[in-house]
Amino acid sequence: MTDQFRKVISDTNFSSLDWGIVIAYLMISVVIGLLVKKYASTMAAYIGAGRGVGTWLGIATMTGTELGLITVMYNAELGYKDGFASFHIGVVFGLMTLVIGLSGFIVGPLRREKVLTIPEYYEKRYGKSVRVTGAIILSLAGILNMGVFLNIGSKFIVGITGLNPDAMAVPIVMTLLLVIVLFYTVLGGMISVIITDYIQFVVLSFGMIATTLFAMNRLGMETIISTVEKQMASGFNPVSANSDFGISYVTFTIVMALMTCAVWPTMVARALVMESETAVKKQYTWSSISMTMRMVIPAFWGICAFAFMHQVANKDVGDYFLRTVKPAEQVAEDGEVKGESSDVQRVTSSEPEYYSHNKHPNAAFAMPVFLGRLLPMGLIGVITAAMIAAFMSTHDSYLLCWSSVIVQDVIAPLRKESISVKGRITLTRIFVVVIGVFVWAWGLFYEGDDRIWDYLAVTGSVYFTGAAVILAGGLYWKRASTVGAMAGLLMGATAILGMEDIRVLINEALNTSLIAPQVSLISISLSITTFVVLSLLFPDIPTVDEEAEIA
Amino acid sequence: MSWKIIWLTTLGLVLCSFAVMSVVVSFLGARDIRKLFARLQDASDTDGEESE
Repeated sequence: MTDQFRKVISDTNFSSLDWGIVIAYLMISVVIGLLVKKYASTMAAYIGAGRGVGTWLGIATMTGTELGLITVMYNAELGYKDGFASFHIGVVFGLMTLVIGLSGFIVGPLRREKVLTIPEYYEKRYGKSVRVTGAIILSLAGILNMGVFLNIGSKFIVGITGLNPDAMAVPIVMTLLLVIVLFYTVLGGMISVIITDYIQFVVLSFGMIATTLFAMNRLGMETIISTVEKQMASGFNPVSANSDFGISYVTFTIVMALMTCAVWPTMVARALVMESETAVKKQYTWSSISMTMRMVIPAFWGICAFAFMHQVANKDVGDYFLRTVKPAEQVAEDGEVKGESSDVQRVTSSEPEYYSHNKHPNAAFAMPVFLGRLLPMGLIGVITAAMIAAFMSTHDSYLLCWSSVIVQDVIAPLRKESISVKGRITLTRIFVVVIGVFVWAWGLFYEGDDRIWDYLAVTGSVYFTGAAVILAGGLYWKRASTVGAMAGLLMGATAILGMEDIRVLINEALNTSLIAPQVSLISISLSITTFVVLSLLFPDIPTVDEEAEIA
Repeated sequence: MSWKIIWLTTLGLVLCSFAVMSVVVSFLGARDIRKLFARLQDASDTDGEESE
């Protein structure tokens, strides 16, 4: 860590009162874990909250789960680097959630099947081998996906509170947060997850709206807009040739959003615990607002941080963070706004070694550092508690989701003897802890140059590419077969080739310049093609009952 | 319509709709929690009676 970085981080409005607010919030979460433990007596109650969640609680819990601190951080990073153009991701996700809410696509029929997990449906439709394979891919992709959550979340807390980044602050914060999440998730399962999600929704809503209005008032919309217009090559148009996104990226976002909203396990888990299919549709329809908000508002904070660094921040802070934007030389090569990024040029020429594909290792700190200087005492404590709430609500749901999939869909089907309810709950609790430890270790050691969002999109697509194809096929196409489903799943998993390190090797070997979304689009095409062709070539053999029914 | 107007309108709509939704979900969600606890309590009581 440089002295400049330490200085930039330490200057914050965060006070003792704010620490008090944060600690009080954390204690409430622990108490809830203890209070609801008595209800988690059956597996359906532990991982499915007894399938008794009403519409409004369902909306709160879905928002709580899908609006994690990681969501806030990656969207802020997108807004900081790509301006208002990054809003397209939130809008697309909101629209796709609305489409699913109105049509019930996949989630409606899946709720009718009364399954607890997606792989459980695989077995009903395709057989045990597809269930186990699908569950292994799902849990591996999901655990890898959440691997960066803890590290990025801890950076927010260090950035906003001004903790010393040298003194092991990130790992210590990571460990403390993880221990609290593990504590109440292990104790209360889905019931405590849902109740804490609700409280987190209330705190988050207030905190996010208040912070946004405060930022608008403090910086002024005219300043924000003019800074983006002057300093970004394509701060508004996501499909412009100068944009970091482009047409293939936007296309991938549309496909990914539809697949994610329909089959992402933590979202579907919320659909499966609802009291009826009508409640599921209502939940998705209303959640389209929060699905848009969860991306647009943090992206706007990132844009505000960008304007703040240019217009308000002192020289040390401004200089430090402006090294993260696209250098003027690169903008000029793209053929637009030549010579307009004078500030960036100044900083670039003094510290060229920090550039790496338009990325900076500490870009994730920009938004929290901005909030640490913008918000007054008290409100900064509320927003930090809200963000910790967001952090925990995502972690608890993801930990519970992946661990229950491993127990219900990998271990239980493979064992010859059945596992008792108590045994399943104990195993799920053990896996919650094991995955937590893995995430902790991965967060400490993994360092990538890709945008956070790109990492999440690639690791997520390893699962949802194949899952979306075989779920949609299984629910809506009678000729879908076990062989086709297995091939579709495995082809979908080829999306792992889009991960940064592997992609670089492929590009070097084939002399190509593929980007992650293009790799994912190829995997989706492969998955659909193999699923359809092999289902037609190798149809399932009808059982005696089915033959009798046909006759 | 320019991209700038589209995104600024989006931001305004998102903020207003989320503010309304937050109030509605906060109040009605609390009611759902009460119902969920009642339901889980009933289920727990039934399990207890069956095991006896």
